Amino acid sequence: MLDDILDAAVNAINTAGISAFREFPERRADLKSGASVSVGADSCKCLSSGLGEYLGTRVASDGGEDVELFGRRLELELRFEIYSPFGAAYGAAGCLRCADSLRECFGALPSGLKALDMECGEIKADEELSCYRCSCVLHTLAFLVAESTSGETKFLDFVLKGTVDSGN
Amino acid sequence: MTAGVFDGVWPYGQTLRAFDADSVNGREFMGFIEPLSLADTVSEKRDRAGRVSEEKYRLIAAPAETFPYRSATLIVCGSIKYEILSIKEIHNGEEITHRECVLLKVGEAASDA
Repeated sequence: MLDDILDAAVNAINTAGISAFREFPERRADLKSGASVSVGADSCKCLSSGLGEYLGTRVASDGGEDVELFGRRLELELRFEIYSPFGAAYGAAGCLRCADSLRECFGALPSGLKALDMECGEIKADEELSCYRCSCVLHTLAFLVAESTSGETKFLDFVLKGTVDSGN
Repeated sequence: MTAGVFDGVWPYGQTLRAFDADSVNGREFMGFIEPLSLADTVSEKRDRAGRVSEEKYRLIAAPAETFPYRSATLIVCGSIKYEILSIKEIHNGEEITHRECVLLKVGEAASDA
Protein backbone atom coordinates (compact mmCIF):
# COMPACT_ATOMS: atom_id res chain seq x y z
CA MET A 1 0.00 0.00 0.00
CA LEU A 2 2.75 2.46 0.97
CA ASP A 3 4.82 1.26 -1.95
CA ASP A 4 2.21 2.59 -4.36
CA ILE A 5 2.12 5.96 -2.63
CA LEU A 6 5.91 6.31 -2.67
CA ASP A 7 6.05 5.23 -6.32
CA ALA A 8 3.37 7.79 -7.17
CA ALA A 9 5.40 10.51 -5.44
CA VAL A 10 8.60 9.47 -7.25
CA ASN A 11 6.79 9.49 -10.60
CA ALA A 12 5.29 12.93 -10.01
CA ILE A 13 8.70 14.37 -9.07
CA ASN A 14 10.45 12.74 -12.02
CA THR A 15 7.75 14.08 -14.35
CA ALA A 16 8.50 17.57 -13.04
CA GLY A 17 12.10 17.15 -14.22
CA ILE A 18 13.72 16.44 -10.84
CA SER A 19 15.72 13.25 -10.51
CA ALA A 20 13.98 11.21 -7.80
CA PHE A 21 14.45 7.68 -6.50
CA ARG A 22 13.14 5.51 -3.66
CA GLU A 23 15.40 5.69 -0.60
CA PHE A 24 17.90 2.93 0.20
CA PRO A 25 18.46 1.68 -3.36
CA GLU A 26 20.64 -1.37 -3.85
CA ARG A 27 23.26 0.65 -5.69
CA ARG A 28 24.45 4.11 -4.91
CA ALA A 29 22.27 6.62 -6.72
CA ASP A 30 23.92 8.91 -9.26
CA LEU A 31 24.35 12.15 -7.35
CA LYS A 32 26.93 13.79 -9.62
CA SER A 33 24.76 14.99 -12.45
CA GLY A 34 22.67 17.53 -10.52
CA ALA A 35 20.26 17.70 -7.62
CA SER A 36 18.52 14.43 -6.74
CA VAL A 37 15.83 13.53 -4.24
CA SER A 38 15.30 10.33 -2.30
CA VAL A 39 11.73 9.58 -1.31
CA GLY A 40 10.72 7.59 1.76
CA ALA A 41 8.01 7.38 4.41
CA ASP A 42 8.67 8.67 7.92
CA SER A 43 5.48 8.01 9.80
CA CYS A 44 2.07 6.73 8.90
CA LYS A 45 -1.17 6.95 10.84
CA CYS A 46 -4.21 5.07 9.60
CA LEU A 47 -7.45 6.92 10.29
CA SER A 48 -10.82 5.24 10.12
CA SER A 49 -13.39 6.81 7.90
CA GLY A 50 -16.15 5.43 10.16
CA LEU A 51 -18.98 3.00 9.42
CA GLY A 52 -16.57 0.15 8.89
CA GLU A 53 -14.75 2.19 6.27
CA TYR A 54 -17.83 1.89 4.07
CA LEU A 55 -18.25 4.69 1.54
CA GLY A 56 -21.27 3.50 -0.40
CA THR A 57 -22.30 1.55 -3.45
CA ARG A 58 -21.59 2.34 -7.04
CA VAL A 59 -24.57 1.20 -9.04
CA ALA A 60 -23.65 -0.51 -12.27
CA SER A 61 -25.20 1.28 -15.21
CA ASP A 62 -24.77 -1.51 -17.74
CA GLY A 63 -26.64 -4.23 -15.86
CA GLY A 64 -23.54 -5.57 -14.14
CA GLU A 65 -23.08 -6.13 -10.43
CA ASP A 66 -23.13 -3.20 -8.03
CA VAL A 67 -19.80 -2.42 -6.45
CA GLU A 68 -19.32 -1.51 -2.81
CA LEU A 69 -16.68 1.07 -2.05
CA PHE A 70 -14.55 1.26 1.07
CA GLY A 71 -12.19 4.04 2.00
CA ARG A 72 -9.27 4.68 4.28
CA ARG A 73 -7.43 7.82 5.18
CA LEU A 74 -3.74 7.92 6.06
CA GLU A 75 -1.81 10.70 7.70
CA LEU A 76 1.53 10.20 6.06
CA GLU A 77 4.84 11.97 6.44
CA LEU A 78 7.01 11.68 3.36
CA ARG A 79 10.72 12.35 3.77
CA PHE A 80 12.61 13.88 0.89
CA GLU A 81 16.38 14.02 1.11
CA ILE A 82 17.77 16.44 -1.39
CA TYR A 83 21.32 15.90 -2.64
CA SER A 84 23.18 18.63 -4.48
CA PRO A 85 26.78 18.04 -5.64
CA PHE A 86 29.63 20.20 -4.41
CA GLY A 87 30.65 22.92 -6.83
CA ALA A 88 29.55 26.32 -8.00
CA ALA A 89 26.98 24.98 -10.45
CA TYR A 90 24.93 23.30 -7.71
CA GLY A 91 26.22 23.55 -4.15
CA ALA A 92 24.14 24.40 -1.09
CA ALA A 93 22.00 26.78 -3.13
CA GLY A 94 21.09 23.83 -5.34
CA CYS A 95 19.36 22.23 -2.35
CA LEU A 96 17.20 25.33 -1.89
CA ARG A 97 16.37 25.52 -5.58
CA CYS A 98 15.43 21.85 -5.58
CA ALA A 99 13.23 22.32 -2.48
CA ASP A 100 11.40 25.13 -4.29
CA SER A 101 10.92 22.95 -7.34
CA LEU A 102 9.59 20.18 -5.09
CA ARG A 103 6.96 22.50 -3.63
CA GLU A 104 5.84 23.44 -7.12
CA CYS A 105 5.40 19.85 -8.28
CA PHE A 106 3.21 18.73 -5.38
CA GLY A 107 0.18 19.86 -7.39
CA ALA A 108 0.97 17.07 -9.84
CA LEU A 109 0.56 14.33 -7.23
CA PRO A 110 -2.34 11.88 -7.73
CA SER A 111 -5.69 13.19 -6.51
CA GLY A 112 -5.62 10.75 -3.60
CA LEU A 113 -2.45 12.28 -2.15
CA LYS A 114 -2.92 15.77 -0.74
CA ALA A 115 0.19 17.72 0.20
CA LEU A 116 -0.44 19.84 3.30
CA ASP A 117 2.86 21.46 4.26
CA MET A 118 6.56 20.85 3.94
CA GLU A 119 9.29 21.48 6.49
CA CYS A 120 12.87 21.88 5.33
CA GLY A 121 15.77 20.98 7.58
CA GLU A 122 19.18 22.57 7.53
CA ILE A 123 21.62 21.97 4.72
CA LYS A 124 24.66 19.90 5.64
CA ALA A 125 27.77 18.91 3.74
CA ASP A 126 28.28 15.18 3.28
CA GLU A 127 31.88 14.42 2.35
CA GLU A 128 31.31 10.73 1.66
CA LEU A 129 28.75 11.55 -0.97
CA SER A 130 30.58 14.71 -2.11
CA CYS A 131 27.39 16.72 -1.92
CA TYR A 132 25.18 18.89 0.24
CA ARG A 133 22.08 17.29 1.63
CA CYS A 134 18.89 18.70 3.04
CA SER A 135 16.10 16.71 4.63
CA CYS A 136 12.50 17.82 4.04
CA VAL A 137 9.33 16.37 5.53
CA LEU A 138 6.05 16.65 3.66
CA HIS A 139 2.85 16.15 5.64
CA THR A 140 0.22 14.56 3.45
CA LEU A 141 -3.22 13.01 3.58
CA ALA A 142 -3.59 9.88 1.47
CA PHE A 143 -7.01 8.64 0.47
CA LEU A 144 -7.30 4.97 -0.37
CA VAL A 145 -10.23 3.15 -1.90
CA ALA A 146 -11.14 -0.51 -2.28
CA GLU A 147 -13.96 -2.18 -4.13
CA SER A 148 -15.88 -5.38 -3.57
CA THR A 149 -18.78 -6.88 -5.38
CA SER A 150 -22.06 -7.12 -3.49
CA GLY A 151 -21.58 -10.86 -3.16
CA GLU A 152 -18.16 -10.31 -1.55
CA THR A 153 -16.68 -12.77 -3.98
CA LYS A 154 -13.96 -10.37 -4.89
CA PHE A 155 -12.21 -7.81 -2.72
CA LEU A 156 -9.39 -5.74 -4.06
CA ASP A 157 -6.56 -4.15 -2.08
CA PHE A 158 -6.80 -0.57 -1.05
CA VAL A 159 -5.24 1.58 -3.74
CA LEU A 160 -4.38 5.23 -3.82
CA LYS A 161 -7.32 7.23 -5.10
CA GLY A 162 -6.53 8.73 -8.47
CA THR A 163 -4.02 6.09 -9.55
CA VAL A 164 -6.68 3.79 -11.00
CA ASP A 165 -10.10 4.47 -12.42
CA SER A 166 -12.14 3.69 -9.33
CA GLY A 167 -15.10 5.72 -10.46
CA ASN A 168 -14.67 8.27 -7.68
CA MET B 1 57.23 22.41 -10.27
CA THR B 2 58.06 19.56 -7.88
CA ALA B 3 60.24 20.57 -5.01
CA GLY B 4 61.35 19.64 -1.55
CA VAL B 5 61.87 16.38 0.28
CA PHE B 6 59.84 14.30 -2.19
CA ASP B 7 61.81 15.39 -5.26
CA GLY B 8 63.41 12.02 -5.79
CA VAL B 9 60.49 9.72 -5.06
CA TRP B 10 57.86 10.63 -7.65
CA PRO B 11 59.28 8.29 -10.35
CA TYR B 12 58.66 5.40 -7.94
CA GLY B 13 54.99 6.17 -7.47
CA GLN B 14 51.98 4.54 -9.06
CA THR B 15 50.68 5.74 -12.38
CA LEU B 16 47.28 7.26 -11.71
CA ARG B 17 44.74 8.91 -13.97
CA ALA B 18 42.64 11.93 -13.09
CA PHE B 19 39.36 12.63 -14.89
CA ASP B 20 37.68 16.01 -14.70
CA ALA B 21 36.11 18.60 -16.98
CA ASP B 22 39.52 19.65 -18.35
CA SER B 23 40.69 16.12 -19.05
CA VAL B 24 37.70 14.05 -20.04
CA ASN B 25 39.97 11.28 -21.32
CA GLY B 26 42.09 11.46 -18.21
CA ARG B 27 45.59 12.70 -17.55
CA GLU B 28 48.34 10.62 -16.03
CA PHE B 29 50.30 11.60 -12.98
CA MET B 30 52.46 9.86 -10.42
CA GLY B 31 51.43 9.45 -6.81
CA PHE B 32 51.14 7.11 -3.85
CA ILE B 33 47.91 5.69 -2.46
CA GLU B 34 47.72 4.14 1.01
CA PRO B 35 44.67 2.87 2.91
CA LEU B 36 43.25 4.83 5.86
CA SER B 37 41.31 3.48 8.84
CA LEU B 38 42.68 -0.05 8.57
CA ALA B 39 40.95 -1.08 11.83
CA ASP B 40 37.56 -0.36 10.34
CA THR B 41 36.14 -3.57 8.93
CA VAL B 42 32.96 -1.99 7.57
CA SER B 43 33.60 -1.07 3.97
CA GLU B 44 30.17 0.30 3.15
CA LYS B 45 27.04 1.49 4.86
CA ARG B 46 23.40 1.59 3.94
CA ASP B 47 22.42 5.17 3.30
CA ARG B 48 19.25 6.72 1.94
CA ALA B 49 21.27 7.43 -1.20
CA GLY B 50 22.20 3.75 -1.54
CA ARG B 51 25.11 1.61 -0.46
CA VAL B 52 27.86 4.08 0.25
CA SER B 53 31.49 3.03 0.41
CA GLU B 54 33.41 3.89 3.56
CA GLU B 55 36.80 2.79 2.29
CA LYS B 56 39.09 5.77 2.50
CA TYR B 57 42.60 6.16 1.16
CA ARG B 58 45.30 8.80 1.32
CA LEU B 59 46.81 10.03 -1.91
CA ILE B 60 50.21 11.68 -1.87
CA ALA B 61 50.62 13.65 -5.07
CA ALA B 62 53.17 16.02 -6.50
CA PRO B 63 52.65 19.71 -5.67
CA ALA B 64 52.01 20.45 -9.34
CA GLU B 65 48.81 18.38 -9.14
CA THR B 66 46.33 21.04 -8.04
CA PHE B 67 43.09 19.13 -8.79
CA PRO B 68 41.23 22.30 -9.75
CA TYR B 69 37.90 20.48 -9.92
CA ARG B 70 38.33 19.03 -6.43
CA SER B 71 35.42 16.70 -5.65
CA ALA B 72 34.40 16.64 -9.31
CA THR B 73 37.71 14.91 -10.08
CA LEU B 74 37.81 11.14 -10.33
CA ILE B 75 41.06 9.32 -9.64
CA VAL B 76 41.54 5.93 -11.23
CA CYS B 77 44.25 3.50 -10.17
CA GLY B 78 44.21 0.31 -12.20
CA SER B 79 40.57 -0.69 -12.12
CA ILE B 80 39.63 1.12 -8.91
CA LYS B 81 37.83 4.44 -8.97
CA TYR B 82 38.12 7.06 -6.20
CA GLU B 83 36.48 10.37 -5.41
CA ILE B 84 38.41 13.19 -3.79
CA LEU B 85 37.03 14.18 -0.39
CA SER B 86 39.63 16.71 0.65
CA ILE B 87 42.92 18.18 -0.53
CA LYS B 88 45.62 19.54 1.76
CA GLU B 89 48.80 21.34 0.79
CA ILE B 90 51.79 20.22 2.82
CA HIS B 91 54.42 22.87 3.34
CA ASN B 92 58.09 22.68 4.19
CA GLY B 93 58.72 26.23 5.23
CA GLU B 94 57.15 28.30 2.47
CA GLU B 95 57.59 25.58 -0.11
CA ILE B 96 54.80 23.16 -0.99
CA THR B 97 56.38 19.70 -0.84
CA HIS B 98 53.34 17.64 -1.89
CA ARG B 99 49.56 17.44 -1.68
CA GLU B 100 47.66 15.01 0.48
CA CYS B 101 44.17 14.02 -0.57
CA VAL B 102 41.65 11.84 1.20
CA LEU B 103 40.04 9.53 -1.34
CA LEU B 104 36.84 7.55 -1.13
CA LYS B 105 36.67 4.33 -3.09
CA VAL B 106 33.55 4.48 -5.21
CA GLY B 107 33.85 1.29 -7.20
CA GLU B 108 35.32 -0.26 -10.27
CA ALA B 109 36.22 1.93 -13.20
CA ALA B 110 34.05 1.54 -16.28
CA SER B 111 35.83 1.09 -19.59
CA ASP B 112 35.28 4.75 -20.47
CA ALA B 113 35.94 5.82 -16.83
